[in-house]
Amino acid sequence: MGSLKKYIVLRILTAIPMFFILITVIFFFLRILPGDPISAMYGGKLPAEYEAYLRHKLGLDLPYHIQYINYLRSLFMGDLGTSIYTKRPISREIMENLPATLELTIYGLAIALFVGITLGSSAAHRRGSKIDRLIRVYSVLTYALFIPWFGTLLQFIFGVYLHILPIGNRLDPTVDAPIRITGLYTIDALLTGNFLAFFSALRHLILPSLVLGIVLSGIFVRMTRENMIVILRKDFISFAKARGISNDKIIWKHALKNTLIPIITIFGLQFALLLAGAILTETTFSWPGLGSYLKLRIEYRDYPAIQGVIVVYAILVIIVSLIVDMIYAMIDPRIRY
Amino acid sequence: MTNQELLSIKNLSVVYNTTRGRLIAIDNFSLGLSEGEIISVVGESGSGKSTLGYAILRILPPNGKIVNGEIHFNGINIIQLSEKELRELRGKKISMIFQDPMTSLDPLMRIGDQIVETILEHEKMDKEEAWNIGANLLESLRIDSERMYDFPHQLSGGMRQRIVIALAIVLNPKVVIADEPTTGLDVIVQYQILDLLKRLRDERKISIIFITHDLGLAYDISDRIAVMYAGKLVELAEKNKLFDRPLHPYTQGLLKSIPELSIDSKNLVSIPGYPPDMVTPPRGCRFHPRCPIAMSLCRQKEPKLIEVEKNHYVRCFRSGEVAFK
Repeated sequence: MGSLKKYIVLRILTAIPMFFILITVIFFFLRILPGDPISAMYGGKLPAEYEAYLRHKLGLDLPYHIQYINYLRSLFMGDLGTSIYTKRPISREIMENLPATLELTIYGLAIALFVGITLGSSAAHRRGSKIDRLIRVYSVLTYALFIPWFGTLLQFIFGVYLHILPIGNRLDPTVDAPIRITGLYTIDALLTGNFLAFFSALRHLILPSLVLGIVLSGIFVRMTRENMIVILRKDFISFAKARGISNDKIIWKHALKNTLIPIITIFGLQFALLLAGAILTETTFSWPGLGSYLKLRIEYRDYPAIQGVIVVYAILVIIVSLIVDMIYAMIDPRIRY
Repeated sequence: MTNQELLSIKNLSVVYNTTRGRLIAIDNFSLGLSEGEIISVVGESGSGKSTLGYAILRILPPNGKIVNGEIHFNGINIIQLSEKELRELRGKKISMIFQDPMTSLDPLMRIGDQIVETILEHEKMDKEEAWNIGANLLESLRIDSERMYDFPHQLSGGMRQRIVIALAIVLNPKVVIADEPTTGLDVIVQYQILDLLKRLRDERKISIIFITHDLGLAYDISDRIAVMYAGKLVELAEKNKLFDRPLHPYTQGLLKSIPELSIDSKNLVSIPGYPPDMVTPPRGCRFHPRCPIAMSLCRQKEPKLIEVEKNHYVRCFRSGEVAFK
């Protein structure tokens, strides 16, 4: 496994240039766009001289390249800076909001994978049938779904009309948050035996994670279907049949396992899409996560906060692609690093 | 055909529904296999010989269908079996070896696990017992039982094919269908595989249908040889008889096209033309467009399979002339 370590180090090293391109683009884009933190917060309400003084105090009047070098210097020291809007450290604000996003993402992803793989496999081995056609229509429909629209629709049906599910936030207002261990409410509540909080958190997760999961499931349906159709034509499937192995075992064991390998790879590439979907879902459901945080801070042109979130997103994507590579090596004996 | 036949195929017809129309892969095919017998089914690609294997095990691709005929194994008509009964038959009574050993094994499963899976699908026992049966089987086939722990990609092509054979016979089936099992292997390994199959016949009384395009291999391994052309059985005889006195012009052509080191390569002849398109096969005898001795009757009417001499069947109007020329 020594070579695996070497591989991970190599992957991180190759990710560094990408990372710097990303934060550089974000840095300059933010400043080129019209508006700045001061005018976004106080626009027109303060004397122009005072606004200029505030800009000077924050270093926003310096030339862009000086600001950039200062930013890189503090980033290199591990400092994401201080929010212009709240004056609090960005790293602390992000750590407060990250768990909500992770919890939503994990549940959404679980739904997307479950729905995608089940429907995709079912369609693949019934290729050309009515069920296959129906599943393909479903997959195309999810591509066309716009998260805020779909989210609002579900909020209307289950929250307003049927009155059975909450339409926003992570907990009922009467329920206290469980003691923080991981920050994921469902897990913390289970770990501390706080079932009241657990069920409240779970109920609040249903709609947002369904929206995120269903919208993303279409990709997994299509990927599973296409890959499994290829796998089902392979000789080892016919040979398994010739050995008398049952159809269920052939589909759900031999074919699915072999289908998952390309799916896991593509998943690593799709993870950024998941994060983007989470931003829209969070803002639709007033979910107090990184996405809602990012949207609010973009409105205030809170440069350090926006840059900080992007850095965290980039690190998440890098970590996930590393994990994907490791899973890949675990299930495919042919892969050795 | 005789009563002691283990497997008997009668008037079997198989079609594939393709985007271009109905493709007749096997047309009114009959063949009987006795216990411990090895029959080779020889033909070009597209002659329907692989389809025959899939049809016997009822594992045709979704667009393939048996439209006519009977396949009797030990008196049971396989065509009428339910999916559950078929699963009990597959691997345990009749088994199949596929063409490409590189792709016939699940790449993500250890050899041992694939063997254990096969055993447990048919027999009630614990995993350890099944594993031991697998290990003993490998040893009896002169394969190191440590191979049980290997993944397919760790093995050479020849070794993989031996493992595939082990998997096919682990439940002691009576019949093994070997679909071009030596394609892609080098010549020495090819003959090792043939020897292994012959040993299985001798030691375990396994009957084998050996599907090949190579008459040389067919001669080496089989008792009888069936020649297929465009979905039809065109000649069937004991192998020496077929080699000494081939009666169908197609068989004659095939024999002339076997490369032999001892013979001057100038004598190597190939059959002109191509196998017919099976969606729109030629009228009359299917071989007539390529036949050197075709006459006008061959273009009009399809010849019947006739027993020209004892146990020598030919489908040709001119077999009589050919035979007694």
